[in-house]
Amino acid sequence: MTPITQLDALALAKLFKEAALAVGQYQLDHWDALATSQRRELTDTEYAILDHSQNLITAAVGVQLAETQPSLADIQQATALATQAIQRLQEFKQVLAVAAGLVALGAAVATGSPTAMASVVSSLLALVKP
Amino acid sequence: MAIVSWRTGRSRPSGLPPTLFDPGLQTAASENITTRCLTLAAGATNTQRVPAAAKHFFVNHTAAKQPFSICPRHDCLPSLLFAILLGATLAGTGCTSLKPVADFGLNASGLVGDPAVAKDYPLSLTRQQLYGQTGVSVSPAQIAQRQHDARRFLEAQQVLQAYGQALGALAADDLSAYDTEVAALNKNLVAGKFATTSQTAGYAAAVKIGFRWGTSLYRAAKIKQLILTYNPNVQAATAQLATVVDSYLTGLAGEQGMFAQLVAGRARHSAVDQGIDGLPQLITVLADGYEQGLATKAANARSLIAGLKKFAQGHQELAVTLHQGTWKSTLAVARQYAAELRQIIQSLTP
Repeated sequence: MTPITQLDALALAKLFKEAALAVGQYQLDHWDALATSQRRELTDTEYAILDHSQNLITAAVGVQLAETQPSLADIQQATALATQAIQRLQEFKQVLAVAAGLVALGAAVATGSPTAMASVVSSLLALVKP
Repeated sequence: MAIVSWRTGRSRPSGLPPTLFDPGLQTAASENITTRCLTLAAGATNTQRVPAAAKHFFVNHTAAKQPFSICPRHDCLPSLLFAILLGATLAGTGCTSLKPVADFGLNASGLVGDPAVAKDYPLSLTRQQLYGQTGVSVSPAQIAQRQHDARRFLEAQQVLQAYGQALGALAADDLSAYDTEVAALNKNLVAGKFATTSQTAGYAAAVKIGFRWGTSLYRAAKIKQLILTYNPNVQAATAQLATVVDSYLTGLAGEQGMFAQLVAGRARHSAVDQGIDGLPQLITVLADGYEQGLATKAANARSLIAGLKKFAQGHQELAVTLHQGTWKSTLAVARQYAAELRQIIQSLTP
């Protein structure tokens, strides 16, 4: 016999659930006409069928989640690539900051101020630090 | 120390913006500025002599551009022309703003990460124990299995959430950071007497648009690559997770029926049989309130399924339009699905 797939299991779980609720509705609709023992039997039947339904759901979800793993691993890779691209964009901005620093260095050299040069050089070093 | 111009292939002093170097971008800067640039390029002080060939290059191109200056106080026409040219290029590629893609990614991540279903998946079995269920389905082993799967489901949601966030962040146009850097650059240009304040306004416009252009194209290329490459995985994962939520809904419907029939329904009938005044009504009121709580869980789970499906559909349509190479239609699709995802988020009940 071919083993059932998780999708078959889910379809079966829905059928069990519908059947159980039909039993429960029958009991409520015919409450006064049913003997206590019959009500007990119907109640037990509904619990049992719902129990099967929930068991099928638990089993099917486990399989379904296992099958999702390869796709999720690839999506994680996509996220890593996007994050790398964002870092590259940050580096572009860093280039602008370095350009601003180099111009400041040029200005400091032009004025011949050692204090200004030292300040700009230390700022530049901070920018290019890994 | 020199940087080669990307347009002319000629070298320019590092630290100088292209508008000060590239003849095509030259902003008719004054002779004084040119001399200072050349001095720096040659590694000399401002009193040292500039190499003649270099000076010839700069002076010729600077002089050639003077007639274009229709704004004698601002000298910004070439920069503006550069800006207009880049603007036209941006409009042509449709890359003026990737904000709709950013909104799509961020709205999707906000929706698919909702942890309510994962949290409630094992709790449903615990509640069914309270309703009188004694079968295998509510055994400690089954509850443990659901707790384990709930963690896996939450992790899966977080993977999709992180992808949506990354896509959104990649598309987001963070121009404010450029503004800060360009402002610093301008300040330094003025401080070093490389340019006047009025001239740097033109440089700022050109540099900002230039960087925005470059980064927009880079963003667009990466987004296209990611969406096209990983679309099959997004489709598979979202479909599988939607099936998991559908399974949860089936289980929750069973729980709702169990409570309504085997707990509240039987209690109401028994109370009538016992002839206790007011008890059937009290049971109805209390049961209605409880059932409303279960109905809210079900409604939110349905919204999660709708969100997963909408994310998948949007991603699919983005892939189709990107494959066809029309950014205009890609942005329209992103805008439409971002709005639809926002509506689903707003339908969630806390």
